[in-house]
Amino acid sequence: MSALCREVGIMRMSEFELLCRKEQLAILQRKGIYVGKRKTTKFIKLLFQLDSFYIEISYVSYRLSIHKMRYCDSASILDPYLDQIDVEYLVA
Amino acid sequence: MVKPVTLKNIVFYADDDADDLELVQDAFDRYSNNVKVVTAKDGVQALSYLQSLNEQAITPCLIILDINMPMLNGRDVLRRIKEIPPLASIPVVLFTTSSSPLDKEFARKYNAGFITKPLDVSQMKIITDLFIDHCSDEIKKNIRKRLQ
Repeated sequence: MSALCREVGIMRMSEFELLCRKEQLAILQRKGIYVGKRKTTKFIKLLFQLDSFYIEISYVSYRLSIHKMRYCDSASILDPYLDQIDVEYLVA
Repeated sequence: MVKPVTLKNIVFYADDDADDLELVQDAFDRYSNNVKVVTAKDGVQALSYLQSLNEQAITPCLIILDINMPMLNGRDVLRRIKEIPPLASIPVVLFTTSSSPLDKEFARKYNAGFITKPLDVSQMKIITDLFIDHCSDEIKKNIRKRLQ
């Protein structure tokens, strides 16, 4: 794991985008907050929040083969997941 | 629906996500001669099954609980398990997509393991071994010896 992964400071989306996928996934697994899961005709998608931005992972094969990762700092990415957001967790 | 199993080491896994249930069952495939993965879809079903095993004096070697489940969540199932003496000594792992420090602290408080669900195949490969690491030394040795 890189020194970056060991850092616990705030990460910006622009910094995250520069990392290789392995580092991105390591950080996401360690610090990402799970928002929700949805299915499209081709993909299973998981949405995470990392500090002030969001990462949506599209899987061809669930948790095994990633098609792409989409980064977004707009809350609009939450729209398809709104029914799954754990309000109790947000309030805690 | 869960079915009782007595011949192999039982790994009990409760999760409401069908994809994750399948993933963990697949991950234990290479131990299938020694381990039977039994599943439940929510916390109530999980607790009911564990209590029925207890009444038959059958003890799983490991209990894996998702945290966010309907009816009764993984935290509540863990709390209840720790109140039932024969079940209280079974190793439990909270297996979740969350990496919340609060959930990690909760797991520590109840002497349970905490494993974050994998995000890709490289992480998936080590998950089964991480699970088995939480079993008792005797079970661990037994499972791994027979694999060789």
